[in-house]
Amino acid sequence: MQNTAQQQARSATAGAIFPLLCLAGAIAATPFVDRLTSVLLLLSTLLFAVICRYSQHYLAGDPGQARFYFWLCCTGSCVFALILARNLLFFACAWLGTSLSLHQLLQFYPHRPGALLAARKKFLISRLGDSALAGALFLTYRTFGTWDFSALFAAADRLRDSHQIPLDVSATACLLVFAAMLKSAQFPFHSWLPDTMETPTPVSALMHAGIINAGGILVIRLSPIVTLSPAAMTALAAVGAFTALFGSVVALTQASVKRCLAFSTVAQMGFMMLECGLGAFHLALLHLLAHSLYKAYSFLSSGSVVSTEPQRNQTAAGTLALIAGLLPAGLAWTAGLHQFDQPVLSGIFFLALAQMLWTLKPGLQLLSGLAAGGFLTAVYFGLEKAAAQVVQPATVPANTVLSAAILLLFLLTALFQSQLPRLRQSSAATSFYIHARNGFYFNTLANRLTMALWPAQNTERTF
Amino acid sequence: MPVELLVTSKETITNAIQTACKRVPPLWPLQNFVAVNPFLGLTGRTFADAARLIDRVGHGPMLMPAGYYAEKCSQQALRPDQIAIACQDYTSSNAPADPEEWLKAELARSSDTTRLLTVADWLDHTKSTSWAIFITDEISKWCSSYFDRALSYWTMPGREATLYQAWKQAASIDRNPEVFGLPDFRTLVRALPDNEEAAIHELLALLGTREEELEDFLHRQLMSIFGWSAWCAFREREGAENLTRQLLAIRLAYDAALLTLAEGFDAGHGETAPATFTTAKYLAQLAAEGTFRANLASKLAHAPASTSKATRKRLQAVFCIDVRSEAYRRALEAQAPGIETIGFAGFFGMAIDFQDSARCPVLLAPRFTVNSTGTPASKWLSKAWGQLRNSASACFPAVETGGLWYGVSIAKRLLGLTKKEAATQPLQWQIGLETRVQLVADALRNMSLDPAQLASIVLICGHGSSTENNPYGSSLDCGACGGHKGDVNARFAAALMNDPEVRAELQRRDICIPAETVFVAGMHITTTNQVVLYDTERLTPAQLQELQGWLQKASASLDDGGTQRSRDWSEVRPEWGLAGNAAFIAAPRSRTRNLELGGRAFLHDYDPAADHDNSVLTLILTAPVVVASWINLQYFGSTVNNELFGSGNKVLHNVVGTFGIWEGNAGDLRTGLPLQSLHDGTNWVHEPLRLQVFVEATRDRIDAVLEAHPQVRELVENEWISLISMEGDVFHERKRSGWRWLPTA
Repeated sequence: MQNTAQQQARSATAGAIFPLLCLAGAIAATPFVDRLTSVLLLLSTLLFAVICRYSQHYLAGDPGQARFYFWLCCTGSCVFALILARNLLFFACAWLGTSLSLHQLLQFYPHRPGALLAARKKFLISRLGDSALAGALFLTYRTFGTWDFSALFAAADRLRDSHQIPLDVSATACLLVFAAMLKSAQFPFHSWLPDTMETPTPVSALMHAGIINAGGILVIRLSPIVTLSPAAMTALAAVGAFTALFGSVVALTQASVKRCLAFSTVAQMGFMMLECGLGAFHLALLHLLAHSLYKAYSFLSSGSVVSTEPQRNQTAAGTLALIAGLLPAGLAWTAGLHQFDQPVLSGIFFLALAQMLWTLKPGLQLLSGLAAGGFLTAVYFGLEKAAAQVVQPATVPANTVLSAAILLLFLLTALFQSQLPRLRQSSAATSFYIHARNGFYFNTLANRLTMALWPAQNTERTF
Repeated sequence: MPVELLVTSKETITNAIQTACKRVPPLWPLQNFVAVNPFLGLTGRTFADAARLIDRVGHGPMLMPAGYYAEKCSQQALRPDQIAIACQDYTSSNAPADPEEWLKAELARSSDTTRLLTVADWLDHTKSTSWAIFITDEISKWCSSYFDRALSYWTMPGREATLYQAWKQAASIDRNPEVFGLPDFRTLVRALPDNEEAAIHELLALLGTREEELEDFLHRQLMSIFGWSAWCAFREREGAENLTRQLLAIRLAYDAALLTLAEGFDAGHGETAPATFTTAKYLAQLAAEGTFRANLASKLAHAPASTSKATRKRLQAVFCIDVRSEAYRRALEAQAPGIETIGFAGFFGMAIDFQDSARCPVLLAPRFTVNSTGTPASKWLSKAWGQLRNSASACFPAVETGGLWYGVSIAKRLLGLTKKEAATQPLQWQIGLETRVQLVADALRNMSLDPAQLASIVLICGHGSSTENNPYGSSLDCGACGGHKGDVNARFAAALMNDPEVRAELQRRDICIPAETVFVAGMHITTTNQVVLYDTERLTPAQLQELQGWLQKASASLDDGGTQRSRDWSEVRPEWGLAGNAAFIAAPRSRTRNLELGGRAFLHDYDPAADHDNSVLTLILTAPVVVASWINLQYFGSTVNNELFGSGNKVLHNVVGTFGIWEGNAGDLRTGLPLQSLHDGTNWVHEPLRLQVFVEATRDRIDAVLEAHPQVRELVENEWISLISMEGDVFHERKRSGWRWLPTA
């Protein structure tokens, strides 16, 4: 017991050094404090505290607990530094630091071949993302002569007013977006995320609730630059929307709780990117916050899923119900009750309401459901307004084709899911299911590639 | 490939398939994780033979590492005389002069064994590939989808068909093996027959297995996906047909497909590896058990006489035989003179079905249905919310709208505010008077309770655990209640015994329960060591207060912070469960009342004088002893080889289909207990000793039972349990060759 106590004391000391260093660094560099920083800092402090507290008993007795806390604190400090950074270079260093310390957590059990493979896969993808960020750093300095955020944003605003966007700036925006996509597990670079369950549950929580958001933070923080490039914005929206639906369709087929959650994270990150691409940075921030809390809780309590009741047979929902459910949206629209600044996102929200209503029986249930729907609508748009106080949404020129395509994709997905029970006998649906169950083979491909680039030593365990 | 190898007759193959499938033990779901003897299919051989077989086909040990035993030698934890006896028994050679030193030297030596290889194993060993892992993952993928209970929203098409057919449909479309580098797998699968047995015949012809290796080769295939095989074996118990055989066909298909990459593979030609079973290790194991047995025997033979006979009985409390009851019973008895405790299987003889789950030992089938009258609250709104959250397109706005609320859930969990005690719902049943009377009469007799001598309060106390966020929660519940909490059985038993109709009828049959005797139900919460009482309305307030006072004081004397642990969502060791179990004692309580047994013994009350027709002894040896041996061997297997018979590290656990566990990303379904249930991080908390069964009965009576019940005799003679007869202070141990005097000095 004494041994463990000593280890914990040592780990606590070691762990304390880094936040202190980080804090010292941040104070020395005068942190970039705005509402976004404050909100993100609040979130990450809460998460970090929860995860540290959780790991105390969860990893009790593990010979590596001290090492675990050491790298957990390193990772946490880098996240804080990333949030507080006032210039792009500091930001990029924190970005790299997060990834390198996380790498140590991912191979916390180095005797597990699966853990090593996943860590290596992530390592390779992250370095690709880092090169993009390095490229952006280089281009930024060449164009603006500074890495300081305030100076950069002021310069970006001047450019916007001049309507003359140099190629270098567009390239910078695209590189930033690319780096963010790799960090936030966007298709087709997502496959590292679902394979990282070979590490203790609190690391999963940290990753899925914290670190994965770094891509979103990058885009939201640097939105003045990213919005300068319509191509970058369109790419964000398109890749984000595709990743969102891809991830959530694959998640539907997974039979283990952590893989379900992992593909759900891929999807949710996609949606966050879609929101960024549509200029709804405030909603992206709301999504980031809400998803973090939801996912942290889901991972940390994933052992409770055993008490879940077996699900009942699903019944196919009628198309009529879907249309009926969409009625309130149409009514609200025509009545001008709400100004839909984000027609795509509001559309997706009302589609979701319709889906909730179609499971209810007509009568008292449906009535209460409608009341609940009204309440949820108030909450959603209320939260949107609140989020807009933290981050300004950007006005992006409407891209009607893209918007229509995205809405149509979401509608089709909803329809498809509602018809699943009817599609059970169809051979096309069967094939689709089987490919989806395999994540459309991207994991296996990425694994093979990783094994070829970074072959594993024989790590077989001996008794 | 020599042609003569392929002419194994169809019948031989069919028999070999059956034999191999029967060697796999069942695995219960996490909802009621009943302890199973992981060597269930191997008890027909001696322990040593089984260990050699597992070494060959499971590539793992059934004993602790040599270093563990060497350390025991160094700590002088093995008595030299016991080493000598083990040596004589097992090797028929005389013990050397200094047994400890000799054994230590012997332990350092290693010998070789031959491990049987699948094609995947062979490729991995010769070409450093990772096919074995890949195949396990592939099979695990389809099995998890096929058997999934509630996790995936979009369930596997073709689940209505058999496992093999559903897999065949999926695998003939699934490109994953080919993407990974297994050529033409879909072609091979499409060409397979629709019947799994025909497929096995075909695949074996491709693999060219030698007849004499056949059973073990098939067993090796099943061991490479041991967890899913065990799950199939469980589903077969529940009524599914030939599932294990179907899984075998699936596993063989992958192996046969690998043949194209495995030039030079020879089925049945194994790989030489250091043996995990050595004579020295087994001698050390025998000596450890011998030491424990001898020490316990001398304690039991010279136990200080019980003094409580003279005082009036104030409370009789019937507890489960579970080892955790032992400590609590001692604490309760210490509260006042006149408190008597009794040990009996925690279902109290009531084999009931409650809300579609069997609340009785798995060796029995439920005979009566009990329901609770409470109506479950309507949860349509939370269901609608769940529907939103799980929808592929609606989950995004759902998270945005409701996600922040999870901050509150996290805060609640952090503060331990999530524990809600479910309100006790009244029970109802419809059982005829005659049956009820018979149930009560049998229960009283089997519990060795003399109706005329009953105390005014009789507590029928089941047990259950209380943990948070713990997939293995039910492994801490009552095995005699089929892996459920014991409250319903206790309440049902107490209600029947209080039933005036039943009592009147019993009186007519000369079974007179005193009118003032009140039966009251309770549940011992093993995590917190508290006792909850149910349906107490028949007790007077004074009686209730007195009873609660005793129970609370007993709980307080055992309190070790369990309440905190029971509410902690990050706790991986909420309680030690049955860790440490090593003995089963069937005797009157007077034999053990003044002994401190350290929570290592199952205590079953048994009074041979009252058991005129040997029926109670038969019941004890054929039911509770077998269940206890399942528990004991589950702990044994999980400790000696957690990789194969245990479920690994809790911090990596990933719940599959809501019924099972993967460790990490994927891999095989895990069986047995997690490491954290056996090991505190520094030391093993469970010492792997086979069950030492001490019975207060003459050798003749025990032999009569063994004669009539070969499955119990097999357990004893093949060294899966030890059986000791206690007659006064004369003890004998039952060996294969017969009874042997056990010194108790």
